[in-house]
Amino acid sequence: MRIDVRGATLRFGPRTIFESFDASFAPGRVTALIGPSGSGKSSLLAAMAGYLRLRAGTIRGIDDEGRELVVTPSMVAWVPQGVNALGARSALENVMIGPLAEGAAPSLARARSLAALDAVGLGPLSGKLARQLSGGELQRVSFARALAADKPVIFADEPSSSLDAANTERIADLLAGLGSRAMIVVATHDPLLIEAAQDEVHLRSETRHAA
Amino acid sequence: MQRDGWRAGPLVHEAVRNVADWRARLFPTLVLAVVGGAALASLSCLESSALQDQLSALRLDGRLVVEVSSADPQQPVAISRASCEGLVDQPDVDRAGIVTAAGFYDVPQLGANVPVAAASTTLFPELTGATALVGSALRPAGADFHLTLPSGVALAHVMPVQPKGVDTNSGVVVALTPSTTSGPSCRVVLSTLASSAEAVPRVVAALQVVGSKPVTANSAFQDNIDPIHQYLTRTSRNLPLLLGVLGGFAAAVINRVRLSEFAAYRLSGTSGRSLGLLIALEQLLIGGVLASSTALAGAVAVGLLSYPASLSSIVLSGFATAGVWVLVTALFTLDIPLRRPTDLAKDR
Repeated sequence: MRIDVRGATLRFGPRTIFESFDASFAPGRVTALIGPSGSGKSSLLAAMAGYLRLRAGTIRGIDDEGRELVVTPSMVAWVPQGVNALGARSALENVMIGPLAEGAAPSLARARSLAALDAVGLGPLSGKLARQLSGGELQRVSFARALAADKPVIFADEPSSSLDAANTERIADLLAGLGSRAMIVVATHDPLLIEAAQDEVHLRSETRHAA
Repeated sequence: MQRDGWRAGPLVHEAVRNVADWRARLFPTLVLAVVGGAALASLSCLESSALQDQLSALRLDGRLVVEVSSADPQQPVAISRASCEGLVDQPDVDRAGIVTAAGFYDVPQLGANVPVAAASTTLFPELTGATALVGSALRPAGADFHLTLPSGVALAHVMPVQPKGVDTNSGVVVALTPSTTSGPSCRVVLSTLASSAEAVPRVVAALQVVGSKPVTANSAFQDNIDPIHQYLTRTSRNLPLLLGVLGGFAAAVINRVRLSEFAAYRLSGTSGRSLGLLIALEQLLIGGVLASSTALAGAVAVGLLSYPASLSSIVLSGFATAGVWVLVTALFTLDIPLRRPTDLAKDR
């Protein structure tokens, strides 16, 4: 699925966050959504996920056969800024939430979650409590949860904002390897993550560059 | 509207893990529910027991015992025996009947000059199983024995301590003969929870009286305190409400610091509806544990420790507390499933 944003305008009160913004996000690729703080990266992701309404403009999904789709939150897995996890539950249980919410049976959810944890390099830590994991490990748990949910779209909102350089590099490596799994859009201004992305969308300048 | 595919089993499992795991943030509220429920039942039993003790003591002092007789002692009236004994069919009347003095007699088994009275079997139901009743002040309770009375040898039974107003603890009581059709007074023992203000006028109105003077109802007990009213208006009766409000508020506060967990659910594809259901399941689980804890503690106190309390009222108070708890939590948590998942993630 591809996502096309046309003439998108978002305002909070009198403040215009972005106006008449156009962009396309390609399937099976990692796109860095770039812009300075306050430029509306997170808001655009929220609007694309269906959590937020635009003041003007359209956001449409186009499936592989060219049909238009309305993008809904059900299609999107979200990797949040910072850490959101169930601290008293294991990494595996945290990841299983994704497939369970999709309706998977517990055994299938477990298998998919173990595979996703392996994909982000956390297989050996699957039984560890979330509160015992480092910030970088928790961020990778969030990616694993998004992968295990098996959604066509993954949005990551500044996933490296609270990480040190070493962990940011791990996330960048992870992103570089995940491109073919889903459409991944990463809102960031971190050079390491931008470098790891295959495409870039600049929010302020409204220009797109191939990586 | 966002949709998801949560199945019932895994969602219930999530709720159980989020509440019952000792490392979970909600676990302290589960402990509070168990302890609070047990404390509620225990306090209820202790208060009920104290009330029963107080009522028993006041009953011996003559509370709820009245004697209906002529307003002028110099001009006695004749109260129909049938109407007096018929009072036992009225609500709030435990016992009622006529007592007439038969005289003082030397009774070999008890001593000299023992007062003997004849009374209705509706006032002394034990007279249906024994020919004579012996007052508790004359002989300690024990097996039935034979008593030599002027009328002959009688099978005697030591009766329990009688309250003031019945006044037969130092004498012997035998049954009235059928020829006695009236008496100068009618003694009435009202039931423990009766209201004398409501019952006495009804009792007096039901009596058939012959005489020139009106009758009055007198009691040896001066009713300046009403233990039932005190019990019903005690401050601690609000404890279930208080526990429900405090517990529910505590659970709501904990839910407020769990926004990060709720964000994890929402951002993983859980709809607001399913998150609301999960939160409701968690609170219903805690409420259920509270009600069960109250019922179990009540069953132990009433069933095994024989506290004189009503198990059904204890169970009901547990359910009421749980209901208030869940309601208060719901009130302070209602907005969480409605919020944007991205906002939940930021407010962690």
